[in-house]
Amino acid sequence: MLCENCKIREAKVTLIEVKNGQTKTLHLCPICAEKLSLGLPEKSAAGSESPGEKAEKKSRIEETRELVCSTCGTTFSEFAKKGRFGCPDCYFTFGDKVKEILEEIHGSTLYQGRRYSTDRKVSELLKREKELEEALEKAVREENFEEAARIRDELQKLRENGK
Amino acid sequence: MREMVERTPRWLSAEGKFPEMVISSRARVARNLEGFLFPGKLDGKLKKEVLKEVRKAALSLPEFKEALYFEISELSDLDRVFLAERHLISLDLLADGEGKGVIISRDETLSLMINEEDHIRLQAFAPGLNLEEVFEKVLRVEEKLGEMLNYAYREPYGFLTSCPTNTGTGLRLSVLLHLAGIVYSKQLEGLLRNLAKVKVSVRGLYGEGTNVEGNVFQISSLLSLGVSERETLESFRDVVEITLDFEKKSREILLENMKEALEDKIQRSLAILSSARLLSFKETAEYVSAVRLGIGIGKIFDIKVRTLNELLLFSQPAHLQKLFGKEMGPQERDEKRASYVRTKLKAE
Repeated sequence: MLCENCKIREAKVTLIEVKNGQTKTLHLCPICAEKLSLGLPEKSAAGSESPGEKAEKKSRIEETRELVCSTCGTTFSEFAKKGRFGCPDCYFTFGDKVKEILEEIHGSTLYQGRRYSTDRKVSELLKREKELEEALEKAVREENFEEAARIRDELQKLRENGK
Repeated sequence: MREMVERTPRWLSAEGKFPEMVISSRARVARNLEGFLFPGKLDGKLKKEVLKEVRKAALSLPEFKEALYFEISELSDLDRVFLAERHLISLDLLADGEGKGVIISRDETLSLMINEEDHIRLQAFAPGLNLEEVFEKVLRVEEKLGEMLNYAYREPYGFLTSCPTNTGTGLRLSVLLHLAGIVYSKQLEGLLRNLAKVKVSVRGLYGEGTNVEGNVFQISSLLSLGVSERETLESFRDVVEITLDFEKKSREILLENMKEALEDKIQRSLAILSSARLLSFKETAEYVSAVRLGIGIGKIFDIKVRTLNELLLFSQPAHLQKLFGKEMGPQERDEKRASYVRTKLKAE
């Protein structure tokens, strides 16, 4: 489904808007969702509003507009209250707000850990390690300690190289 | 579970470095599976699917050969608390709910909780100060599991977890420290103030939201973004070292300024443990702490740290009830606890 606002990007977020008791649901891309959930209404009622009235109106509108993760149904206010995401997609649905929260907790949003390949190919190294572990167990079981010592050394070397 | 009852888990064996001050070291990683909502939002049927998939992968590993496996919904309340007292499951996992499970290696140095806050919470334990060992072990098993399972891992954040405090590497290191010197010399506030600056958390015996008993504190690393796994290990090791230095200095100060009072406290505590007829867990933990300090400063020679670890372990309510093979109210427990402690010390 395409974003109902820009009609270019894929819709991933549901924005629920309550206005005069009427509920309106919009399917949006994360970029438009961020823009619309924070922005003022497109048509200002009058130019004569005081800044105070304007701010009040803005906060009222923010309250009634809510980001919802379309994968798991978690709303942003639910996340803010419980501090728990509902699914991996929430991280991207809630966009820049997630970045701010992570920055606040960790002082960084940059992942510095080991890379994980999501294509689920068994790496040769790990396969070899498993084979060796099985061979080691067998050698110990058969009380072939010379062989066991050799395999243990090979395993150790493999693990050191694998780091 | 019956065979676990009389056994002391390896992580309480007092074999590692500084076993009197560092009771144990622990590393854990949090992982989730792609294609499933996090456990908090996942319905029971799909949770069981996650449970099945993770269990199958884990049990194929040599580290989990002949492992123990429990489904939480099938355990009695007493058994659940028993596992929590051994730190094998969290207080979060022990609450009722479908599709939760735990896999425990034979020697109890690895535990894998399924459908706790995240699909996977893998933990490695070691006695004494041995962060390198638990670090290597937890990541090795995590990596092997990751070959068989499909972890939720997405740029730019890395591993995605239910709580944003674990996002990134999902790694947390922790130690259980016995800091009687710092507590007795009234320097705890100073320590806490210093530790708050270096991004670690200080908690009670069973982690988040629990009380400190017997001057045992759980100190944990906090950051999982902006740092590599190894950087987490190195900086946490530094923090532990500084804390231990602080503890050693506090003990020196105590010995200099109030030697008699300290020795009196230690010997009195041992005497109470050896002859009391009623002991609460809190009291036991306090007296055990003083005796432990006595070993640390070379005033007590004929009691092993391992024995004190066992006293603490089996003095806990669920352990005591399992050990005596019956359900007991608090009063009866106090009586049996005192009897257990007396017998155990007499055998030393």
